Amino acid sequence: MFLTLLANLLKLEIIPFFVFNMYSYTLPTTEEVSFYVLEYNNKEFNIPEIWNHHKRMLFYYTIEHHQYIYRNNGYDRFQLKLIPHLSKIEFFKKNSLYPYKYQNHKNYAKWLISYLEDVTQQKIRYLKIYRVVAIYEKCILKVKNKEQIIHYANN
Amino acid sequence: MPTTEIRNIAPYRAYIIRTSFIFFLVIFFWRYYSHVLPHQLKNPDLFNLGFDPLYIIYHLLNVGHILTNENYSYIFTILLLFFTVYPIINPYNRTFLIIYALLYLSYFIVLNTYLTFHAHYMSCILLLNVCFIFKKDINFNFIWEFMRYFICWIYFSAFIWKIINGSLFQASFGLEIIKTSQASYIYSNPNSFWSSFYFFFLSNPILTSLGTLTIFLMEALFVIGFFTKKLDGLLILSIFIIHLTVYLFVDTLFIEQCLLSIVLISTTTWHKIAQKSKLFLYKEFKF
Repeated sequence: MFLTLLANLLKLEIIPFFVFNMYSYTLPTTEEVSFYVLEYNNKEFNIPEIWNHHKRMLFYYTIEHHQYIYRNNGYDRFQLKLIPHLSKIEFFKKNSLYPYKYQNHKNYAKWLISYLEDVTQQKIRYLKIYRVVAIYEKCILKVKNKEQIIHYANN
Repeated sequence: MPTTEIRNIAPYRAYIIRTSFIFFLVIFFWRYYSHVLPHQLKNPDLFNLGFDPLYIIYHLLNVGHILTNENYSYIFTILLLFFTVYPIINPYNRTFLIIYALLYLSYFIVLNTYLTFHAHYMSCILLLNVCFIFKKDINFNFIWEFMRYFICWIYFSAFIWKIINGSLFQASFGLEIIKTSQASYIYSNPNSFWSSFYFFFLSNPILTSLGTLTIFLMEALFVIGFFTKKLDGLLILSIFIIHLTVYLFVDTLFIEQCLLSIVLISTTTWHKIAQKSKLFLYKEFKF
């Protein structure tokens, strides 16, 4: 209990401590919302059953991460925070060890296709990922912008 | 029962372990259906380790790649299944429980690494397993009691965090979280029942704010658990209501965390469960 209390005070979300602070931060009041839409073989990747969360989660979490990696030349925000602290230790850099380990975002679409082929039980010829910006207007969600960010043909 | 009195839960240990592992097994099959077991991950390239030393050690030792590659991932999944099933048959073998805890820990780290999101609620299964590993009855009673307070702390701390970080004081918090979490669902399913359901709450901000506040207060309710055990039934109900509400509105599933409610079940209830299951086994199988 004491260690968990300490972990809470330090905001250390590491195993085995449990810091249950999700949904505790204020959210920006925004008119616009953005999200990602995946299309494959002329179909949208849509799991409409509300209870079927785990089947859609791998795409929704990884695409956010992919976009961050893409914008930051192969490194995520934790790596970018750690690198300045470890810059004096040559060993990590020389051997490309974490946090210097480069994340190859170019392989993402290929991996996603192989994963989705299993989920959908279909041969996927191509996939497209869009970043959609939309606004809520009364009882509709109005698309303001839809930009294609990934297009991959599975040859 | 005074809150200081340690419950004698040890006679029901086998029932507790069996019930927990049946739940773990259901989760295992659901994860199989959802394509998130090690052999279904297809060895992803991208990862997220956060600042967690254990994740970093696993990564440096290449454990994630080994456990998700084509050859070993199937063995890992089968082992995970075997060690989930065995304690249901024989809940007394501590070695198997320890091995299960280690396998589950590895799965938990590997999945979160490649999910690129650290789903901490998965660690609740590990927390329960720690209790099962204690051999002596007195130690089991003690750790089970400790766990009860720990759960009260987890939920009450969630409320405290909302005061510290401010979401409790943001009137539009519920509205904003529905807007961002459900946009993708509404976009893809504009005419579904659930889209209408979300629009109803988006059009009624006062109702949404009241609902959000109710959930926050349900977390605050767990402070009562430090002073009395009489309301444990209500706390169990609160756990399910909190997670069901979060799931419906925010699309984040804390299913593993719901199992923590098992620690709040009273000895009287376990006694009734034991009596009924004995009667059932006798009637059905003449044990």
